[in-house]
Amino acid sequence: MELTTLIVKITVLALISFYIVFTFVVLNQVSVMNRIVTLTHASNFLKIIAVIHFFLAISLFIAALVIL
Amino acid sequence: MQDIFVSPHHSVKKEEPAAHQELPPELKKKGHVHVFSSFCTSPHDVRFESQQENEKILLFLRSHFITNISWIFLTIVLAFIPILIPILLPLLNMDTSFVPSGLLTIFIPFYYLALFSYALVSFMTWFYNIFIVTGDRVVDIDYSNTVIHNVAETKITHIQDVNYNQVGFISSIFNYGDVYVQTAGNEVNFEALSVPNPRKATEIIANLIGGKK
Repeated sequence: MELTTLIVKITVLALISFYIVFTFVVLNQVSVMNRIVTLTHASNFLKIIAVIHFFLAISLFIAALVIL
Repeated sequence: MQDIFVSPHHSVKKEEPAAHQELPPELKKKGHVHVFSSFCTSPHDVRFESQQENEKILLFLRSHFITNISWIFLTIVLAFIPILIPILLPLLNMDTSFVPSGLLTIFIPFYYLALFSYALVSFMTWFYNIFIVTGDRVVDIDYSNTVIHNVAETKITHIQDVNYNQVGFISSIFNYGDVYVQTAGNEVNFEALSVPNPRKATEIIANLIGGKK
């Protein structure tokens, strides 16, 4: 049971880690596309959303580390 | 040798480059592009990377926002699933006591974050697919699959023809269609798909290339 719990914990943490990488890629793409075309207010709005999204993913990883 | 035929004298109208042509009144008025804009003439708050100092954007096009309805609807439906499962499980006599509560505490936020990612990427795919017409060029920015983007541009003088089509009931109701810009020779043709007011967009581009549609 201990081993099963450990395997589940490692799997969940690995999944969330991959997800963090994905959110970083999305954030990077928002930066790249904002460089290609800039819409004064809309570009900043999307950048903020992408940054919040990235930090939420990191928060989830920390929460999983603590809770599981 | 005597002249066999002398054509009646007529003045040849020299086509001015679009940049120096007098702009029609609709393109003189400055427009404003917000987050959900799909059609804007002469936007003052848009810039693209290779834009020259004195180059003005005359037309800004994106797909009509109604084309996003499928992913918005799917997102809303999927958002309700974690709420419905605790209601449905007792009805189906399913025992979930073997699932650690900590796992559910992490899984549900993870599910909603993943759903948010889906919505964000879908929105970005619509947001960054832009068709820009300036006095000198046409720029087509395509963004797809999170990491793929393509920027194509051509001079207004290289454009041979512009046309549009509007097919279907929904596109007629919401007045959106596809605008096609044909360029000379081996150059890639440009297309702006599902853009609002395709007739007006075609008219603006046609006037810029010196033709009347």
